[in-house]
Amino acid sequence: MLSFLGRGRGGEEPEPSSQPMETSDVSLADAERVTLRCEAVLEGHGAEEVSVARVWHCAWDPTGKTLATCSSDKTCRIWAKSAAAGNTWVTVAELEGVHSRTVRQAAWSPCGAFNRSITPTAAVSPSSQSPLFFPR
Amino acid sequence: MPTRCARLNITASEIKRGLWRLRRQNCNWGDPTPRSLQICVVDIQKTKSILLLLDPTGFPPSIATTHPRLTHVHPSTPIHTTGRLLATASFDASTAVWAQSGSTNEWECVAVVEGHENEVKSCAWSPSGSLLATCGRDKSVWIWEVQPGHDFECVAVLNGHTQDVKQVVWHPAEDALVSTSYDDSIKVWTEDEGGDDWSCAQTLTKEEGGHTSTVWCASFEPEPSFEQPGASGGTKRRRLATCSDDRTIAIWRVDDSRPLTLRLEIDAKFPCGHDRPALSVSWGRCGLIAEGGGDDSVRLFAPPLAHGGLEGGGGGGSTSGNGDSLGDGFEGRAWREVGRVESAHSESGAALNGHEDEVNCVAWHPTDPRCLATASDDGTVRIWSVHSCAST
Repeated sequence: MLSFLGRGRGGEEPEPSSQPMETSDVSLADAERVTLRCEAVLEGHGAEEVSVARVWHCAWDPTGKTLATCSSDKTCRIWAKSAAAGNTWVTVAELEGVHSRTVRQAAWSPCGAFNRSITPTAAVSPSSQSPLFFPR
Repeated sequence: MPTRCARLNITASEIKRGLWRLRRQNCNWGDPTPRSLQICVVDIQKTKSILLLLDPTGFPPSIATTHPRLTHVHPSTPIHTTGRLLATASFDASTAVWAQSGSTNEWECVAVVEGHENEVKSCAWSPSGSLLATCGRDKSVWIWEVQPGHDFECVAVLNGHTQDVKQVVWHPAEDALVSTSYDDSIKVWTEDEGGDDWSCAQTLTKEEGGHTSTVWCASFEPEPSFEQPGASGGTKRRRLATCSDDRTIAIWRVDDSRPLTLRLEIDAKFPCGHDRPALSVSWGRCGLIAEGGGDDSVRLFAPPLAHGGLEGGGGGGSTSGNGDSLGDGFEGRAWREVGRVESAHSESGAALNGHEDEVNCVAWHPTDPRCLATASDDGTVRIWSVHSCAST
């Protein structure tokens, strides 16, 4: 089983709760019933507006460490768990000042690294290994 | 570290504008663990190299480079992502592309992609990251190719939908695009044989067993798991879920054996369980489909338990008296609602942490199969963990 976010919640026991008894033995797809436990409520969109700002979309980045959300407040927010804030979700970046209307959807590029100007010889660094890059 | 080998069959026709784009089926990843392989575009003219990335399930990503004419890839090596891109589609008619600077949380807008006449409703990167698709109120779908220097070149403007295009979704491993629309249809777009143009490979309407009202959202099954009845060799197929204003969720079998002609075929259609539009679906690694609704609820659906007894062909196996409004015998393969978070305003038992307004988006976590995020008109995003209940 893959751990949650690589760290944090992976090995912890479920907190005591009044929910029905839960078991991890049954795969979710075969379960007769499943429960959803609210782990976090992320609030922040529209903080500077008079009325509630709709959140239109949310998208996990490919690693699952951060979540992008976008809103009628014309911004996209990026959230991550903060160890400094007691392992709660905080806004780590607010993308604003570009869109002049609702941001309807966000999409992460599957491999952002490549899109920057990679020098393969530098990107594939360990010199102890057999050559990974063959010069022309 | 064991040597992993990939066989790459690259043809000269795959060189386009100085960029190589490889297709996944051209690669035989000799890894016992079934993981999909993603191939990045590299400016081959400059680097003479190909980058291979394992998909997010294999994170941290591995990378290998090889001379294009060699047939083996050397042991993969972890890389440190130096940055990543985020695209945002806006009602201001533009799509912005943002890049992160190093490991900090500094983001800058590196490109504003413009072309649509008005509201952009959705954007999506192709599995290789080399293409960006956008769609919008102007009824069109645009495909952009990522060029060095954050330059986006339009390679196709796809007309065919007769109303707003609500969402674009790429096949997780192929350069095949699915769009959903206010015109009640789903369209599949693929690249032509020569790689020079894109065209509509299939249109799915109610005639094909599809929806009778706006199709809001589509989500591919993350890994192929469906065994085609009667198919030999145990080949597993991927499926696609779509949801609609018609209060139903449809399941489509995806025939991606021939990548240039991806085909969808209806497998099941069932009510979403409430009387408001089904706005968003997400197919999770746990095998459950999450649905976010106009009734403020979040619902989880599990596949039908009985796998036997499927009739070939017409599939007229109605096993219940319900759902006859859907007709066509699909109700025998209806998915089961196994979990729900009601609206905070529900009269029949408001949920403690339920959303207080329409749920616009549901999104399963890419690696944790129990984690789900939901976004709502109530201004909040909620993160949930899903647990199975003891049956006795």
